[in-house]
Amino acid sequence: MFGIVARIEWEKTWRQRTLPVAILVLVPLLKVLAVLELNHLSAEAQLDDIRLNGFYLAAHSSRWVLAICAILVFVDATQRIAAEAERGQLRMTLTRPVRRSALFVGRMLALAAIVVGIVAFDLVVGVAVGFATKGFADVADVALQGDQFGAAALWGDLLRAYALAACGLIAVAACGLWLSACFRRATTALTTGLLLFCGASLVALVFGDPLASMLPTTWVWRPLETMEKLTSGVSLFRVPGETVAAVAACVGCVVVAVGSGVVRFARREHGE
Amino acid sequence: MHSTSGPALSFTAVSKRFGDVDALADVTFEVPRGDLFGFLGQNGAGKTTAIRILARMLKPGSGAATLLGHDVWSTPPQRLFRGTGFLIEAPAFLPYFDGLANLMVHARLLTLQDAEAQCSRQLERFGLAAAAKRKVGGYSLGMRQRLCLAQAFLGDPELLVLDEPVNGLDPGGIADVRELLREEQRRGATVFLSSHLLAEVELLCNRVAVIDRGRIVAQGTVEQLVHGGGGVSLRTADDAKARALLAKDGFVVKDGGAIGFRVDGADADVARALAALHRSAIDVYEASRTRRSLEDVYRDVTGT
Repeated sequence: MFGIVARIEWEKTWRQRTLPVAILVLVPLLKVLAVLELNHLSAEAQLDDIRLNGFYLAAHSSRWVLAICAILVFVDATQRIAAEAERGQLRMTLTRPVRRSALFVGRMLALAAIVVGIVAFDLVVGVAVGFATKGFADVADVALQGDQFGAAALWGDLLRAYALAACGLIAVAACGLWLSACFRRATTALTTGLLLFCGASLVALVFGDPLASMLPTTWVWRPLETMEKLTSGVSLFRVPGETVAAVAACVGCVVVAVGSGVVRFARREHGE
Repeated sequence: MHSTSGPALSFTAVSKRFGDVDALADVTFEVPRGDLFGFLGQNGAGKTTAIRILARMLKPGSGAATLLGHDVWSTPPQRLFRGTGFLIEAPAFLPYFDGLANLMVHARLLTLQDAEAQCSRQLERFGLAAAAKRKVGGYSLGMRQRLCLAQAFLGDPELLVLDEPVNGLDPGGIADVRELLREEQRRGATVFLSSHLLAEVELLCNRVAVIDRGRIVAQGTVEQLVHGGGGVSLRTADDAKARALLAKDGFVVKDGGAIGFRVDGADADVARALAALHRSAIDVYEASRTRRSLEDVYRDVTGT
């Protein structure tokens, strides 16, 4: 039944069009802006010693793309249950032979699939733009100790950075879905969610680590930033070093959000 | 599997309070299998609360409700709702899906084998075949209502729970739905029909329960409820004198609208009333037998 619900949710996302259209416009647009920005930097010869290539371009642009996607996914997730409850659509679904837990988990699976789709699309566009403009060569870290990073190793880092960003986005979606199960009005779920989202980001900004490391929002952009710094010679820190903290924070968040969301949704006595 | 004996639906001493208001108070009734059962009550009487309890959306304060032999609150939904079709309040569909896609959502949740064929059949039955590929956002209120009925009928359920099923339908649509409900009954399905359209229920249902301010105030077959009732509408040479005479003799005399006045009672009472007028030499110009309608019963038991 999880699969059936997930498939229905996936279909809803496509037919509703809002999220796919936003992603299809946003991703290529930000990639093009990143290329223009990079050309501008090169023209000013501010980074003469470091040859910025496709790795930097992909990581740099995706950091912004996925941060914006986090907001879009979060907004979408907060509407998945609350908006349907408000419009009465959930009321009709609930008279079908399906558990509420299946409705919740199915929606979560669909959101996870959507997130993977978004990240994969962003990666593909990033790589395509990278190949078309700067190529993917070895990176020589001239600014620091002159370390050399081979392209093969950097591909691993890049894929890992995207995978961790996907984990962060899935956790963000789980939080949004949890809020959606907690409120009967879509606007309440959305407003509360955005306040929490902004609050968490502010807390992370003010207090920094280790608090920031516990927030899934951090892991949407941080591995990509690490990649960006590495490929621009600012830092020697590698993405694999962040894996454990990122996975722990994201998995913990998903488990808590899905667990409490299922319980909340199943116990809810409502007029849907 | 559902049990095949016992009532299709039952309420046993079900109560539900919202704050200080008794939405349902000790409600008890049963819907036998194969019946077309009318659940009558004015707005706010408790009909929707009762249906929400059946649909597992509200937990009763006390008492128990069953659907096809299963207790509503202790049976998991995947067993409870496998054999039922619900129409609750206003239709609510995904406006960006077409009619067929909306039905397919329900067909998939029902895990129907031939989902698309069944959806198409229901769309055909409810006169929506031509609009199957149109987005529901562009449907009229009547079309949405018909789509809502089509989703309730999906999978040929054993029990249909319908809340105001003819809302928003034109007279032709209402007649079609009436015929489809009879068809469902002939197939062996039970129909629980909540409505405030008394004439519609009287035409369609064989058994009714009347709810008023959360309490069941009358229940039984339509025949039982209207039996022995009715009376005669009279126009006489001197209506005022005739009314006074009959009232003095203990008859229930009421205003008759356009036709003089009305005397309530069974056949024997009517004969006695006419004999009394004859004895008093009051000429009767017009007399027509009136049958007690469900509306009369409803007005009597609810005091409206």
